[in-house]
Amino acid sequence: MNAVEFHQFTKRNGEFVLGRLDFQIYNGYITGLIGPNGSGKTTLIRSIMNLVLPDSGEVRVFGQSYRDKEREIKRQIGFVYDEDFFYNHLTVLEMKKIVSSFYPTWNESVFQRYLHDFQLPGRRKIRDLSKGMKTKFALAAALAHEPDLLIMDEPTSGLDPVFRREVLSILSGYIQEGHRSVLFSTHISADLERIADYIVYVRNGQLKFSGSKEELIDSYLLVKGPLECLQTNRFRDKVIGLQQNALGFEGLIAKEGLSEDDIGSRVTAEKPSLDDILVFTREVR
Amino acid sequence: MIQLLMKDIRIQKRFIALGFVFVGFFFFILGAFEGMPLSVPAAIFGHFLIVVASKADEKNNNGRMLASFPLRRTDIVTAKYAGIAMFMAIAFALTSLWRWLAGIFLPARELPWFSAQSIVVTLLILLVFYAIYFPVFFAAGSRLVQVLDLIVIFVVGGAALLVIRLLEWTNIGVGSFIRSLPEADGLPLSLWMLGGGLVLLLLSWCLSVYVYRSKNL
Repeated sequence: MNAVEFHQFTKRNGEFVLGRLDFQIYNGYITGLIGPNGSGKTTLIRSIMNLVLPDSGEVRVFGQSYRDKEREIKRQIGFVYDEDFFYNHLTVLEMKKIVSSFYPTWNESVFQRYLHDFQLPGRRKIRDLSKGMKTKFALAAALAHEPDLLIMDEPTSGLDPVFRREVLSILSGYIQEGHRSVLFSTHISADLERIADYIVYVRNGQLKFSGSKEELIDSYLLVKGPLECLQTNRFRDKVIGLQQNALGFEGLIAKEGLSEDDIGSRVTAEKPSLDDILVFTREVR
Repeated sequence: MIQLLMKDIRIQKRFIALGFVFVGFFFFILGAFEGMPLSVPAAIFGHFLIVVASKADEKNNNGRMLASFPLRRTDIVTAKYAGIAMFMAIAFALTSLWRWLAGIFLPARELPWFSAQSIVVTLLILLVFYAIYFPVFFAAGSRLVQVLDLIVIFVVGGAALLVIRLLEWTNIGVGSFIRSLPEADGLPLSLWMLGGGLVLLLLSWCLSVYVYRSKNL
């Protein structure tokens, strides 16, 4: 069973359309959600939480529909959003009491362990916590009810590298049991390269890719070379997101249907990073 | 839904204490609103708690957090309406406690009094207020919440005054009828008024559920 399935999901918001999405988030893996600002990542995450309602189509979580199983579905989800959403005038422990009351599966010892590991001061007010501390608390609260699906919207943005690494390590450990899944959106593709198994790539409200990270990276080559190589139209037309300067050119090229003759000996071709793919494909319609 | 009501009490602990002190200080120690029935300070106290609880849920994306918990949106709306009864009960209980405490030092005739009629009129005013307030609250959310109570008070108060004036100009003695309401005798009228208020609140709940269930958060 998949953790999340989008079936012909469409959501319109003014001019912006998140359109006809058909993909799934696999159970037991970490899936990274990538795309430029305004591409629809947050809307997509909110639609999984049933905060954004589809104009047509459906989102199913653990094979169930929000129409008749809303409470059951949400009990299995932990969430961390990229914004303040706690009651700021309460202390960490007061807020914990509120969150824990909604989850029958709340594990106090797990929460206390994270509180200790993250060095969170229980008596400090939420408003007095730094952004990193708030994220730590949100993560502790999300994990303490032992959800099967953890959803995080930009959890590592604004965090220092040490804690970012710590979060990634927690996520890796969290899915070890095999039936748990993580979906997180991020702008920091290095985080995804480190831990993501699958990638969902959205741009301008359209699904550009959904599959394994290796599949995405292996479908392109990063090509660089002198400007003369671009004089043959056959090659130039294949380069995606072509960037030129006095020293030469740089761009992506899709591997599918590519032969060695297409590249030529003066062009270097290497494996792209996720960042390269995001940057060079941003203009592609 | 019980968790939501408990949550409202938890986030309001300080405001409940503050309201309790406020009622004691202004109504019993300073003797403000002297000659008024006890339902007036209780209603002001209850209204303060209900509105602050609503504002707290919209101030900091908290509404999005609540909707992400294992709850249906109908539960969230219903809890807000149930909160009216809960906070009014707390306010009336704590105001009665002040009256009992003041009764130790003051003669009974100097204390604010309870009257069924005044309680009914006060509750009716509040029920009408919340019947309008909550659908707008669930529709507009954080955009209006900081000033929503003022908007409802001025719009509804203004509209009501306008209607009363228009009726009086057409020689319908609605003003004298309203003035006679607090002194009016008889349980049936009170119950009819309260019943009407509750029906209005039920319609308001249906509207709020419809609005909130179709809203993107």
